[in-house]
Amino acid sequence: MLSGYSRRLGGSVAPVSVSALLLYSLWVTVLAVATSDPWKLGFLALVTGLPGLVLGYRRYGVLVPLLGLSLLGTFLNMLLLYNVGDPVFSIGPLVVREEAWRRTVSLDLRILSLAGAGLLFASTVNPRDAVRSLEVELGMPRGFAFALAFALRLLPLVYRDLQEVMAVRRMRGYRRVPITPGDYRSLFMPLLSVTVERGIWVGVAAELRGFSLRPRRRVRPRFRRGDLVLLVLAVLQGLVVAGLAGP
Amino acid sequence: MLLEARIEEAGYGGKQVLREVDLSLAEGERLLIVGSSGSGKTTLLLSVSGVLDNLLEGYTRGKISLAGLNPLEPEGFRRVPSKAGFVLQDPDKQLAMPTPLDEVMFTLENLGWSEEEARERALEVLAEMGLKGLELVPVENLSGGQKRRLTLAASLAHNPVILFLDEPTASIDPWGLAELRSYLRRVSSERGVAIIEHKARYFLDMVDRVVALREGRIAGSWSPSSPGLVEELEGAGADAGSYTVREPRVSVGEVVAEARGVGAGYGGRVVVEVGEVTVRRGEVVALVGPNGSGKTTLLKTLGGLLKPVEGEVRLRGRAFYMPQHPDYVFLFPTVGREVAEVKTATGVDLTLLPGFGWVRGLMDRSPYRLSHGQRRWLAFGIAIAYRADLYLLDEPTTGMDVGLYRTFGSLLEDLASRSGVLVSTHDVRVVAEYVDRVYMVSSGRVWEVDKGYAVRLLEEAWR
Repeated sequence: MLSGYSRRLGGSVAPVSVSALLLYSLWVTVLAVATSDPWKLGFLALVTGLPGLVLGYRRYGVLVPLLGLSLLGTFLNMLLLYNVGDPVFSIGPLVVREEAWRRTVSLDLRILSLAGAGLLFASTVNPRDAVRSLEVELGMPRGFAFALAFALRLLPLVYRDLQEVMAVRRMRGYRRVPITPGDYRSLFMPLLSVTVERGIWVGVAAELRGFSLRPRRRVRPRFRRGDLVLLVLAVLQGLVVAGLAGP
Repeated sequence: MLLEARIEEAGYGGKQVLREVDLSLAEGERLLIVGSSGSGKTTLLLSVSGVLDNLLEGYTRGKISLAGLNPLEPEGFRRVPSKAGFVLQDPDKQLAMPTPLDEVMFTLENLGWSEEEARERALEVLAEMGLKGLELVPVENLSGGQKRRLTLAASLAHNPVILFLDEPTASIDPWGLAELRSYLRRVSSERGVAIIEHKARYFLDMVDRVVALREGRIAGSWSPSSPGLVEELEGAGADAGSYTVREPRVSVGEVVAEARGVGAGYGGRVVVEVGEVTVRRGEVVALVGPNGSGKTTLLKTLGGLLKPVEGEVRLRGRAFYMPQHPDYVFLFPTVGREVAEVKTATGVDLTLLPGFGWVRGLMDRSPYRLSHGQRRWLAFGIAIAYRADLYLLDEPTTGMDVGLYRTFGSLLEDLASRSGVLVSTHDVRVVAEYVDRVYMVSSGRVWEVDKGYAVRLLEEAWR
């Protein structure tokens, strides 16, 4: 397995470096933002999105409802704003038209690629390893490296928060599944508030545990066998998005 | 002296919180700092640690020496962690890493230990704190007491000469508290320890000196054996020990919630097997038991938020579940919108409820920007407005000082006069003073226990 999580108490070396994984995830993110072609996005979703979701599901299966909400939100927004062109299919009296469908598919594939790239990193990297590797190998500022690493720890907590907010929404007679922008805002506002407060105090706690005293070390990144696989996949996806290969 | 602070004034932005506070702590001394919410306890910790001046938008005027360092200066502040350990109020706002081993190693690596040395020392200190075997368990799966011990381990791993604990009893059960006290006794003999806590009673028998803060000033300093100390401390807003065991209500109404032969849990897995639990209108019923025993799962199952894995729950009327954190209750960006939406949904004008007049002056404010006490209070107001038949309250008194607790008590009495109330709590005061019947949740089962027995159990568990 790739992860630092699989290590025993004595420690072990993962076959893919944290830095390579981060660069790969960032590269796929850039590609997913750079193109709006559904076929190219589909290729990114297939090569990185799906494996990322599969790998991430075990640790962050909690994100599936959030991802589902995003996909649903995308569809509803597109229906509201771009439902023009030839009919594609209908749901009862609602006719879904070409432009809304094309934009939904593109955006959903982009979301899947981004989520997959993020989960690939999040599910295979241990936050403490991430802080050390990003800082030591890539020379990333330690504050940034810590923020990125802490985001990995936040995901399960955010899911717990989400369950509580959903429970209260139901008690107060609001829809469980958000549909309107107002619903989404009322769902995310409390999550954001609690997360920001938690982030501030974790930052304070980290400083009180000597984070700013952390020694600055630099080492040359070590190339590992798994990094080669990532490199090949990165080049392949780059060629497809640039239109030099594939669909 | 490990700590010498002469604070002329300290606060945030233009708002003064502390004034003329002189505080000292000697080697080997254990100091308890008490006071009501808003008295300045946490600000004092943030000030003497240098956090107020160096990380938050606050200020301190005066002189502070912490283990020979000046934490008000950036360089002194940077070096504070090498001399001092800090345990903050809420473990979930302190633990940054996914496993106990990573958490402790993070501190040590920050302070320059090599990975191998840090791993070795982390394993040693985790074993000392009773966390052996849990080194690689995800932090989310630890109980409240275990998380608290982990924060202690991560703060002590580098052998600091001074240890600060901010409300260490918040969110832990009496059994976890007993463990914390035992570990504190063990680690505090060779260092200075300052405990900031409004539940003074839990530490009076193990400290050398008690200091009370009131409205940002030192209200008094006593030896724990001083006569009349309990009255003095309660006057300062601290919970110093006294409560009365009230007789259960005699007259109660019809059953509003009933579970028989129910398996409560998630995803097909039973967490708690319920032989029988009933709640009647007009009574307050408590669920007590260790952290992680399934109390919240049971509350949500009775409220219809979780489908029982086995059996059926009968709920007559409407339920309202109040989570532990008040922020979850707010769904709108301003207090005014919350008030308006509550009125639309329930017909109740929150601003006209007794004790809620203060809301009128804060209508444009975000509910998340209110003080912790105001947030908790507004959340209760929203719950009351929904006029539920069954209220399910999850650890409602966490972090409440005596004043807020008393106000909460009157609100609970009011709720119980027309609804059934089921409250999950570790707070012996709630059980003794407001509860009529008690269910114990432990080892995957729930059963009814005598109220007097429950009070004795909660009282004896932490000692």
